[in-house]
Amino acid sequence: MISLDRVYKSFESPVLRGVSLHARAGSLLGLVGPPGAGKTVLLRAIAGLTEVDAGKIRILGREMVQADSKLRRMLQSSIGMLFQNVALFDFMTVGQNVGFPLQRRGERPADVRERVRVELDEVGLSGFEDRMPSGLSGGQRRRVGIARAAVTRPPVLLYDEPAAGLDPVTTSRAFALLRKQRDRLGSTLIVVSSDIDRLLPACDEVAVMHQGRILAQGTEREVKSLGDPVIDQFLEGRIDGPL
Amino acid sequence: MALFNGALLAGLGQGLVRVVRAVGTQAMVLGAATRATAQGQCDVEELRSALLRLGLGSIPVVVSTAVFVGGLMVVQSAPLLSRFGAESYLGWGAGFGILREVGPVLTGLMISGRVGSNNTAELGTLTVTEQVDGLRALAIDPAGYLIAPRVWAIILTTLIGTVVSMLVALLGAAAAGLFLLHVHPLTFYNGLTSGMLTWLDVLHGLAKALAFGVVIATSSTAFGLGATGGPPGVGRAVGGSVVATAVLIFTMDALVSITSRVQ
Repeated sequence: MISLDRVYKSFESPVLRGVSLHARAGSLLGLVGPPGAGKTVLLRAIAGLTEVDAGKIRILGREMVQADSKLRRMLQSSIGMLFQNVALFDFMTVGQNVGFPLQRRGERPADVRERVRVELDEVGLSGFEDRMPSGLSGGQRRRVGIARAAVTRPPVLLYDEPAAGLDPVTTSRAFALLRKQRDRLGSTLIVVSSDIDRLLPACDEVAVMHQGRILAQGTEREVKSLGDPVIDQFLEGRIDGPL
Repeated sequence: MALFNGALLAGLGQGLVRVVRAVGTQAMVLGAATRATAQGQCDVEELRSALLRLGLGSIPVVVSTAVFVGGLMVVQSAPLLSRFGAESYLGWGAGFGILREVGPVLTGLMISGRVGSNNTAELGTLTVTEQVDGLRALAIDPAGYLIAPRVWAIILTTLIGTVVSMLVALLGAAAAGLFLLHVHPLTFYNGLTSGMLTWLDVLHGLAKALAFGVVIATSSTAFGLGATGGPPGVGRAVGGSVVATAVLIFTMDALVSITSRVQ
């Protein structure tokens, strides 16, 4: 469903150093790693928002990197994304934010309203349609972002820190919601999160990233059994070690 | 001395690179707006909203400034005209200055300060908070949704604002002429339409307004979309946009004046 083959990207210094990754169709892949590992840049590259220097990114069997603008837009329309800072359109109400992708696709206003109602209900924000994003708490904004990302029922969902700044209960609810989206929509999810304790149990697979490289990818058990000192230290949260 | 010259040359070189880069970015903004419009992707609803928000809101500022400037032109020239008994030339003199220079330049500066800075701040905020990327992630081309509507709205606003400014400034000049020099409005009108002023003078002013509109639209958009570094970055972008646009307005003013000077 999503596969990356030796993807490279440099800004002032190399950020992605030959990243290869594969996310199975309908699976939830957790992408973890220390700060500065390149996780957000990788998500942006998959979403077609950051041009990579080399490598291949295939989404739904189509190559994104070399795609012309028409194919790229087509592929992007099959992706829903939650940004690290949510990026809600602050000049729109919550309902307009969530319904915007549908409205742009020319859906009938009555259908848009109904889908917005359903998605907001899914994230526990029924009746929030007319509120402005500036009047929401951080957790509420994040849940609106999740609803907007999923409103078109895209086959690919990319979530950058969906639980950042949330309390433990809301975080657990957020990850339960992601699993529900995977089951309900059949989407492939790639989720970046620093909350490893809650992310790992929710994932089908996990990929550990460090210094622009994927150190390992597999189930939680497979990754932990590798005995890699960096992975072990990161996943166990120990102070002493190579990190 | 050699060190000073080297530093001076390096500074000049860096300055030149910045100017070329800024002009190139503005050309790209205009190109993106034109392409999106030619492909039928310019969002009509956003264009309407931008015209109302940016354009309509500018009219009171333009009108209030123009009426005083028209009047002040007469106040400044009144003693000279009275001394030579040339009050009948008041309409021509005021019209010449207003149509060819003061109307377009003043409107350009006012719209740059109000609309251009507003545009930079809005786009800068959208950029630093990843809302522009949010649009792209939804497969929405920012060129059609954000850039083209704002660019055309600002150009249209500058053109319409200049026409309004010219008319109001002439009315202000006529009123000042009546009260300060006791020049009858009909005499003022006759001076204006005596044949020494032609439609070419109006077109000259509108050509400047078009050039200023393009400069304000592209500069404010380019600075906004180039904002980085959170809210302080937005502030820097607004400041940079206002200064660059003002410099470009006077540069374009000189260029248009030189290339179409009165024979």
